[in-house]
Amino acid sequence: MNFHEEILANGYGCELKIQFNRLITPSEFYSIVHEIIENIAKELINNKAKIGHIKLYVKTSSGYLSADTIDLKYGININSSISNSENSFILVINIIAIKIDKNNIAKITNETLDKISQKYNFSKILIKNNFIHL
Amino acid sequence: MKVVQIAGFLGSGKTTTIIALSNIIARKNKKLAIIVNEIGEIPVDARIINEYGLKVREIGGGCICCELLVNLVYTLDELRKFYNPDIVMIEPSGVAIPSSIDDSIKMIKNDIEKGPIIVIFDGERGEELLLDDELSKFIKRQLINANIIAINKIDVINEDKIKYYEELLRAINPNAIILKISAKNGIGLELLADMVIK
Repeated sequence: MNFHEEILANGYGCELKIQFNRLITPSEFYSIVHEIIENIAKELINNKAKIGHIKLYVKTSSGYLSADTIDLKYGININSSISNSENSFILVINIIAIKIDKNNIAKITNETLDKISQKYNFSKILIKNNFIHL
Repeated sequence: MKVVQIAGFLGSGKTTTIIALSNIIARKNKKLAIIVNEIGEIPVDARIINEYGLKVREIGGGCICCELLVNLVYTLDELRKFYNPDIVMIEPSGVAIPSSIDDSIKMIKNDIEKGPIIVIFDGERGEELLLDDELSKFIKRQLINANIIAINKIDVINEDKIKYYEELLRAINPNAIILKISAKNGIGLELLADMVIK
C-alpha cells in the first residue's frame, strides 16, 4: 500500500560532528547555522525545487539549537538554548524537497557544508547519512 | 488511552503545535506521550521534542500511513502496556494520509480511544501550495480527512486572508471544525487542547 504516487518527495538527512580549533560563541553558532540553512535553501530554489522543509538540529554540551525554513521568502526560524562557547558540536540536517532528485539534494547539502567549513575553518566527520525517496 | 493525530503538510507547524499543546495538556494533569514519524532515518523532530522533556517515541525510515503501519500499532501497544498515558499525540510525516493511520488505530481493541484527526493548515503558504498543480490534490486529500482543521501562523497573515482560508477550507471539508491558531504565539491553543482532551 503506497499513497505517495501523487507527491514525489525526495530528501537527504545527515548527522555530522563539527570540530573547530577555537572556541565558538553562541552568536557564532547562530550565524553559522543561519548561513548553512540559507545557502542550502538558495541552491534548492536555484535548482527549481520546492522546499518541503529544511530542518537543522545542533547539540552542544551546553544546549541545543533548532532551525528550519520552508522557503527563504518565509524566513528562517532559529531557537537556541546554547549558553557557552564551545569548540565542537553535533549537527543534524533533514531536508525534504519536491521536484528535485535525492542525489541533487545530497550534493547541494554537501557542497554547502564544504563551503561553510572552509569559510569558518572547521572540520566535519560524517556520522551517518540517509537518502529519502517516496 | 486516547490517540490523536496532529497531521498536515511539510512545514505546516506540526512539531511546534505538538510542543505547545503538550505544555497546556500537561498543566491539565494529563499524562502524555508523543509518537513522531519522520520519513528519513536521521530524526530531527523527535530530538527537538525530546529537548522539552516530553515522552517521545520515534518511528523513522518510512511513512506510518503505509509501509510502517505495523510499527505504529506495535508502538501504541508498547506505550499502553508500559507507560499508559492518558493521551498519545501522533505526528505523522508531512506526506502521510491521516485516514490510513486512523483505520489502523480503529483496529486496535485494547483500551484505545480514537481521538480527532487534527490537520494543521499552513496559513502562510497554504494558498501557494493549493495553487500548485502537483501538490494541491494531495493537500486536499489530507484536509478532507480532518475532524479539525487548524489554520496555523495566523500571527503573520491578515484578517481577510484568514476569512478567505475559512471559506476555502469549509468548501474542501464542510464537516471539519475550523480553528485559527498560532502555535508559535499560543493563540487558539487552549481551545485546541480542550478538544484533544475531551
